[in-house]
Amino acid sequence: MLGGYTIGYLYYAITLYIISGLLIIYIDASDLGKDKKKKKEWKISRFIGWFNIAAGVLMWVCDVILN
Amino acid sequence: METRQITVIQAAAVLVSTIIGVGVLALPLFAVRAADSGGPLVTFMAMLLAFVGLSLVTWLGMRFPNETIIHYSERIIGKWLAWIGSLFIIIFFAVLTSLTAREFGEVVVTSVLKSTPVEVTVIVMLLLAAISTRHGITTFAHIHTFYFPFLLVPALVIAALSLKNAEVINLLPIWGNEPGGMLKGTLTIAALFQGAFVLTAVIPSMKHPGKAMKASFWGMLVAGGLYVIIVAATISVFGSEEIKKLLWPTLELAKATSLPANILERMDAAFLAVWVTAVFTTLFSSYFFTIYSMSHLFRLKEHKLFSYFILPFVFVMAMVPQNIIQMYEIIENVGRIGLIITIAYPGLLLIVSILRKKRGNPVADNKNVDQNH
Repeated sequence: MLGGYTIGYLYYAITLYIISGLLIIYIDASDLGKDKKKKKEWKISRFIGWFNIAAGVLMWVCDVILN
Repeated sequence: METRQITVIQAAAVLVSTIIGVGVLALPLFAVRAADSGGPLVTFMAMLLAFVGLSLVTWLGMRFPNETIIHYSERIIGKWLAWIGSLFIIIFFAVLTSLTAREFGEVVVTSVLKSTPVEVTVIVMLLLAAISTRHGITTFAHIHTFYFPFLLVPALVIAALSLKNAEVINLLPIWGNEPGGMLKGTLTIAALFQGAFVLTAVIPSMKHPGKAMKASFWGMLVAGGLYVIIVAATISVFGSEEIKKLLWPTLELAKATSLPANILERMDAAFLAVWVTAVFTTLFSSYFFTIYSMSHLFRLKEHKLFSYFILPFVFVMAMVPQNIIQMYEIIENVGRIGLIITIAYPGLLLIVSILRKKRGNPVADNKNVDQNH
């Protein structure tokens, strides 16, 4: 068991995946999209942003189905 | 684009504040488990081993002053082999970041915020590191230089004040009662110095990369010296058998230490404040190095896009250990495996680069370099 009070880390992880994905898309991708020299970075930032959101949503759906 | 701005002092400060971190609390326990009263000697030997590793890394960095290890490894051993090596480096530093955050969380929920979930303390620290790593390497060096005196001075003061309770007899024999465990202990403690590998990212932005060895020497001397002093002070105050019953002997040392005239009866609160800063700088370095190396591996001009990306992955890895005992087992094992990545791998690269006569272009002082390349 982990130290301190705990409710398990799954919901913390889901929240972190979704929020980090949103931050990447709304901060990094939109910022990099303005610079034409950083097109590769822009594409990757959009991909990893959506990847994190998808991972978070998938974990949440799996949790709902399994419980 | 930014100029080469990092000085030798800043590079040394980066090394010191990266090395001194979360491990300082359990350090005397690792040392006495290895060699009882020979703990300071084991720590010193670990410092020497770590310095050998750091020298290899520095030597390589000086041969390729414009590139990080991710790039010059490709020139030395070929793209695909180097990719595998770089991938291991990145994964190792991500794991190191997660274990640092978890150890921090465990100490906080055990000693200070007893009702706070460990997940919250871990997330707060990781978030702090993620936000701080979004800037360039010069800012990285400035942040380390700023915190450097706040780490070093209080730690030295606490170690010095604790000596009034010291018994020199506790340090004898200096080679310990069971020298058989010295090798394992040396490796375990040398693993606490592995953050110094971050120098591979710092050298390409140094004003004078040719002086990187000087920074390595002073960085290792200050950090290693402080580690030896802390171990010697803790053993001399408590004795090795007492320390074996303590989880975080350095914290107990701070509790047993008071300021003259009892201005502060116990110094654990002050010590923890300093320790939080030390953990932040260590976590900051390993987090920064992870995303910086990722950006180099994928030939990207920005590393900040990975700062939030790895956050949930690092958090999940931090939550893997089931309890403190398992966490320390993992830390010891990961640390020893890490020595292959941070000492053996650069050693191999150096030998191959010498045999194949591979060398980077010499650098002109204050030449403009790209922030990421």
